[in-house]
Amino acid sequence: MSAAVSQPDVTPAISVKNLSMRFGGFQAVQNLSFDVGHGEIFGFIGPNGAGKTTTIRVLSTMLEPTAGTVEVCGKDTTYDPEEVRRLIGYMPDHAGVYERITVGEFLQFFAAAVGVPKHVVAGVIELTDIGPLRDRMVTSLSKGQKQRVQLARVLLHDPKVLILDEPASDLDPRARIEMRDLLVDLAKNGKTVFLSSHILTELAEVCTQVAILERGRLVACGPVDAIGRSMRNETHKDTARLRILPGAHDERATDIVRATAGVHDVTPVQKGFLSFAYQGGDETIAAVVSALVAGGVGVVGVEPERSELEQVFLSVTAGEQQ
Amino acid sequence: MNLHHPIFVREMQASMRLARTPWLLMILTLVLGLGLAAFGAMATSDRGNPAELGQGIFQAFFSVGYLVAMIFGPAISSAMVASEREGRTWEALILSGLSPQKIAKEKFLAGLASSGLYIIALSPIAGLSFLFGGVSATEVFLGFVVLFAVACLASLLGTALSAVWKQQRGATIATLTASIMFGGLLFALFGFGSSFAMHDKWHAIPEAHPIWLPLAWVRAPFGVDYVLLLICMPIILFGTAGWFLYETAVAHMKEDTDDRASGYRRWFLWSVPALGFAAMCPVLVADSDRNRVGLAVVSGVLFFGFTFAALLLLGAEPVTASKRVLMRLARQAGRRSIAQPGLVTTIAMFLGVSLTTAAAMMLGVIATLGSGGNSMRNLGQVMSAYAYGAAFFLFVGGLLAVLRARGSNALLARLITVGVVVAAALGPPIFLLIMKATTDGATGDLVPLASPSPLYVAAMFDALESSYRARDADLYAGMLCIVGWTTLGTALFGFAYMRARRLRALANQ
Repeated sequence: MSAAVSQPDVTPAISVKNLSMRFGGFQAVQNLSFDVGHGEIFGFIGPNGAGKTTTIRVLSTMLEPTAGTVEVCGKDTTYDPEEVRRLIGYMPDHAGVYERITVGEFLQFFAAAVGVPKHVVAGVIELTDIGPLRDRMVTSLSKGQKQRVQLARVLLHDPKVLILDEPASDLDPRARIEMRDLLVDLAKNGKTVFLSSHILTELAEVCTQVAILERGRLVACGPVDAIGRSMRNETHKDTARLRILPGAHDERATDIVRATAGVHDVTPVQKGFLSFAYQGGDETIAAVVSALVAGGVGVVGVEPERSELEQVFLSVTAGEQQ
Repeated sequence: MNLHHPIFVREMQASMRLARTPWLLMILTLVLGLGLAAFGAMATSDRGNPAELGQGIFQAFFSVGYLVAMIFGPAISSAMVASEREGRTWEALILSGLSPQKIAKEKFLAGLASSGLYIIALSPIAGLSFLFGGVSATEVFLGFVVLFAVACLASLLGTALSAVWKQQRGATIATLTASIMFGGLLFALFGFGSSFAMHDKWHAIPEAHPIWLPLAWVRAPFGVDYVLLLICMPIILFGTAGWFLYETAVAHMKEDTDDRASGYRRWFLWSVPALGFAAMCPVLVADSDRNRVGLAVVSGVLFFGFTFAALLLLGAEPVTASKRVLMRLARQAGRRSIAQPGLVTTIAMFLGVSLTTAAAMMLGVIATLGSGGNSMRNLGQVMSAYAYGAAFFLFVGGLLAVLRARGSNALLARLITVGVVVAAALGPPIFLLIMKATTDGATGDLVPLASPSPLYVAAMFDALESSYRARDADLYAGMLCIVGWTTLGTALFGFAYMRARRLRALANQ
């Protein structure tokens, strides 16, 4: 008797190769290539009009690419759209709900539409923690609750890949945190999450990889810290905000920071706060703190003025109107 | 029909949970019931013949029923797909794995069930008509059959326009406008208009009574005429119109790169011969050769008008189908049909089916013509009308194919084609009139100047009626133009074929 040895799945969850999309004379997406591994949370970032939603609509089989191939778990979105639809759960931005039906009926409807047994609904309700909403009219829910219901809907057929277009837009901070935690849980359970957003802090906290799109072209792709490292060349400067103890002399602190190697511009922001540009990464920060402490200035804290992802985004995008 | 289908259940829930539904039902039933009862009471007090009262109530009830079906059915259905798009639930629905065909069918059935509710609520009032007399219970029952057929068509109209429009308000306004316009036109043409012809044919059918079909089914004597006019024609007309609306709904539920045209092609393939047969039904039952020729020409004009409109709307396809469609076709290689995608094959199919049907219609008319003194004239008139129509249609198909193959977008190609057809139809007669005016009445020799126009068939008819040999030139000019349009159409189509082949080869490189 021979035991079957399970092979690791080497096919990427999502594989995009040389994807181009043209609408008449407008080139929406140009020569896009990236892979997303299984179990990853992949952030898809770009300014408005960069081609995020077009790419997502190709991924979800709603559009056929003008050129290139897009595969989900090895299935081509052009040639096997039905198979791909079984593998993905797609939540469009501002996804709507039906009027005059309850949350339970809404999920029962989609369960019947995708052909899963009724008892699955109870499972996804528990997973997404929307049990108390079950008998409420869907239209009466808050935006955050509706997003949870939408997430429950896309989970009904147990898809391998979740494609979420701006899942946290319009959500209040609490709902945003809850949504983020839910996505992390889903990724831990083996789901691949492909999400687009322009709320960079939200992506920075959950994404294992990001792709940055501008004017339909991919300008950066990979783990956030790896992109950040690759960008730190000789001319790159980070900025940090320094908070010193009340009562300390701001001018003295300014002089000490300015004198530290690697520091360039120092600007007092308000009383007790300084902003400075620097090179050399965390070593320079450590040197600044040591110098201040040695000079008798109490340091309350130092933090980057922008998250790493924000800095990456600002560095690789031109910031022009698109 | 699956009453447990999720779309059907959800649509019915949404419709029934609408607060205004029971109120509308109650108000409609009350108003119509009281109105017809008052009509009956007034008519009785006027000492009219009580036996005729029932007929009046029957006509009034089913006319109002027709109005209800034409207004409520489309109004309910018009929101069904557009609201999904506007409410951003459409993507979720279409990605759930349900096919557009299934969605269209269930949406249509839900719309029909909702409008059927209004018809059923009104049904007890219809009983008044046979209680008064003048109509039988069978006729009332058949009246409901016709009403449900109308409701089906109206619901399909709403579903189709709902799929075409992206916004719910636009869909509702367009649907109501279309249903009021088409509903009114159908009522005038097939209701009032046809009732006179039916009364002439069968006197038991009352004249100027728009709801004549249920009465005709009961009162007309059974025979070939009965089968052709009262069974075949209504079934073909309702069936092809309903099928077209269904395919429109399905096509517009699909994405641009999906196969949106195969359904239309299938519909065209079956509908054209069926409609050709329906157009021939009045010709076949005509009581004289003179009438038969006249009806054959009217049928031919209607037939070519229909095929021209269908070619223009559905034939302007891209040179080749999308990769997704081609892959699907490759997978279905075992069951290929002539309804293949792509510009050249589509137009070839449209031309082939239309011209074959037209030829069959012409042969059918010729076969039924008598062999009396005017037989050659009748034969000549039928042949000239159908030959000219076919030649000009071939030219239109070739022109549309060339325009699309040369890269014009579908709308531009359609507009240019319509422009050329209008210019070809009206230009030569206008030129003839100008020449007549400028040559001081020396008109006889100038008539052939109008021969490039399809309207010239009228001049060929005149020439065939005339015993003067001088009119032979008019006939020869017409025949020359038939040959000319045929040659030009064939050449244009050949050019389009070559161009499309070159483009496909380039795309495959």
